Amino acid sequence: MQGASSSGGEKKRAEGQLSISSVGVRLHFDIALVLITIIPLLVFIFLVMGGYVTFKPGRGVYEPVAVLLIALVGLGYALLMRYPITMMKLRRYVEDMAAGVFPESVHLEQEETDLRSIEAGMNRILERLKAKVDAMAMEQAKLEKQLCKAQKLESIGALASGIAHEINTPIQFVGDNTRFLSDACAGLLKLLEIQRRLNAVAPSEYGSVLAEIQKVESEIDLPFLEAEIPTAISQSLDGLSHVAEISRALKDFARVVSDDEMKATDLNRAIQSSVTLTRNEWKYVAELTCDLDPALPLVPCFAGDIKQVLINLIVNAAHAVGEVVGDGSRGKGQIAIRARCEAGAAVVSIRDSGPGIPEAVRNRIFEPFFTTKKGGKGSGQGLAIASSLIVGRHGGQLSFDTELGKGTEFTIRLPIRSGAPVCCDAGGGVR
Amino acid sequence: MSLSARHRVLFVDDDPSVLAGARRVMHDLRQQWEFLSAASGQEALSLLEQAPCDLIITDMQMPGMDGVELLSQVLSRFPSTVRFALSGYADRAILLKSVGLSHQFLAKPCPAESLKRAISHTLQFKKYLPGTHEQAMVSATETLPVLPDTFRAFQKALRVSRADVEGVATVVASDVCLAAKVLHLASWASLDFRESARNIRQAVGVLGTELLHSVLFSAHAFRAMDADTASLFPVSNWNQHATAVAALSVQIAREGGASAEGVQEAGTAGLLHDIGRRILMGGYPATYAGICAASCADETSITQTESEVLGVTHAELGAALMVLWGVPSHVADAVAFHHEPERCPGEDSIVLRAVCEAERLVAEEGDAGEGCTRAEVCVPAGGVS
Repeated sequence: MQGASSSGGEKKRAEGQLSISSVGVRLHFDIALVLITIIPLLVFIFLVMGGYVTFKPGRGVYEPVAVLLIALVGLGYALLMRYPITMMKLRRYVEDMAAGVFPESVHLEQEETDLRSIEAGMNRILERLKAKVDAMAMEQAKLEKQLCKAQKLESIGALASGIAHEINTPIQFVGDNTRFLSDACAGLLKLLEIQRRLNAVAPSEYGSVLAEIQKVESEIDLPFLEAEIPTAISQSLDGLSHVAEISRALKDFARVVSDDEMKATDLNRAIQSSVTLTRNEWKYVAELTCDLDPALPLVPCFAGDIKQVLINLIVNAAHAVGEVVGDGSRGKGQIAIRARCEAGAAVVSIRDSGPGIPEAVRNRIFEPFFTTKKGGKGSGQGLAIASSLIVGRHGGQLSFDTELGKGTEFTIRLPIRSGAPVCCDAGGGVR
Repeated sequence: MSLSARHRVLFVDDDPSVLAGARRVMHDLRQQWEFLSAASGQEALSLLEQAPCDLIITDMQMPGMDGVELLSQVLSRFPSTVRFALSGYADRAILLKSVGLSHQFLAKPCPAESLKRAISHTLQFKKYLPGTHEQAMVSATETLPVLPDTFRAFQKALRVSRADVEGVATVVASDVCLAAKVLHLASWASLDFRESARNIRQAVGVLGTELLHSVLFSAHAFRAMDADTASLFPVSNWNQHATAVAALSVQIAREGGASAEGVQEAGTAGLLHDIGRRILMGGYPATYAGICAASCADETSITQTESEVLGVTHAELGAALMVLWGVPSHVADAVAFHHEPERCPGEDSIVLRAVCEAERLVAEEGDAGEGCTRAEVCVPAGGVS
């Protein structure tokens, strides 16, 4: 089963329909006008001409009279019909507006003051409406942006405690090791100092110095120090590089919080820092593997948005796996992240071995505030925002492929050349 | 100290580097402590099954059995083992879950010195107690029941006037058990036993009323005693006696030229000096009511009757619990020896002197707090027996 997010696309299509329908209405309207004005006139002319042919009256007189008559009747008819036609136009406009179809402007094409003032009034109403709609659209865009930012903060806030744990653990043992190394170093220096004395003293005193050396050696437990010092140092270095990695990932995340234009971004690195920041979320429940294509070109994007999406998707995957494996005591699940280049698009997929998405909710997962997570684990914003960021801001695609009992794979497609649309037939179907 | 008398300290963490680091820093104390480590809750429990440990320090977030589960198993199966939590999470939820399960809650990164100091301070609780049965009795005590009226006042103070630290502290100081628990929780926040809160006002300040509020309403650190137990003992008299002794102790310590800290500690020791009675009352209400009644009837001192019946006095039990709950050693000593100051080892402590003197003065004034509370105790106790 596959699905795709299309919140942006749907909106555009809806706008298209709006303009098409208004064109349709106008066409309809013009045809009606033509029919109403022209047909009776043609009938009239037909009748007059018919009379002329039938009766063949005396020459010279009838023809100009008939032409005059036709002209007069035509003029009269036009004058007579003008008002109802305008009223009909007006009714159409009002009906359209009531139905939610707003024309660019109202044209009644009449010179009478009443009608002109009605036309001007309606156009003023339209302008005001348009201004209001524009303001609302701007407000909505602003709100959406704020919501995005809030969700970004929410996602990093939810990770904060885990990140603190990831940092505090190495600091704990690096601190312990350093304390130990400092004591060990003091002991070894003391030993060295006594050993140096061997150079200075007479050979007859070697015995007493050696005894002292042995005493200090057992005091400081030399074998223990010999065994532990190298591992204490290597573990400390590992711990420090772990903290440095987290710190870099956090800096990456912080740096791009306020990006206003797309920058060429290394997606592989974005994936790695998202994996680092979310480690505490998945490490107890899943083995996470990354299969990244080193040849993946830089992708023009808002790097902060992409990391936010990746973090949301990884945390979701961890939660999904957690539903299956519980606390991880009876084996872990899998999360597999893959990045590759495919038909002009950068493709990142995140597959989990979770329970899969139940059929009933598959077409709702991108809805804002829709969540199946319990107990404040999610606000239902993650996927909605992910989809609006990928589809709306990047012209990319966010799709999923899920199978009950097997797991779910989310796939992000981003155009590698900015502005180029992502090829549409590539949606899903990876598995 | 001989090798056989070494304390067994068990360290549990799923990260082998943390275990290795801890083993290295503990190595210089190998004469006093035997260091054991386990990489999971299961492993820790099987180690405990082989031989009991004096103290367990566990990480809270571990795959499989987490720290909360491990500590509650240790509490029920190995009650005499002292329980420490060492957590790397800045998460309050984990702290709240540990309330009532662990004696100390340390935050990673915890400097080796602080950890060692916490361990050696806490293990001192054994020196007040004759055997493992009493140790288990004390270290399995999670909460002490609070007088119902005070409990309600405490709830109200935290609900209504949370900004009023002074007001909350006043309510806390009006019940001995409430005060003791607040001091206990405050010792978690300070992490350093030289710096632990010396009086209630400080403790409430350190914790913050907001944290107290969440502890009260989401963890079970505080509970009110049931009416049956309350009717057996003159608890409010005890509380009044404790408050009176506390006030006098402060005055005596001040006049005796104690430092500011000494004065604060004297007040706290005065307040807590009879906390052991509340342990006995909470744990063995019927037996203890009998002991109180017997002591009144025979006109013997309460400590003598306790020793005869239980083999341990309320003073010793109280001091041991206070050490486990992170109260400074001076205060615990004063609690332990307030009946027999001459037995106190070590240097002469002004805190102890102040409490003894205050108690004597209060007794002379006719307060019957410590000794016979005949009117209240004997009647209901008689009704029970």
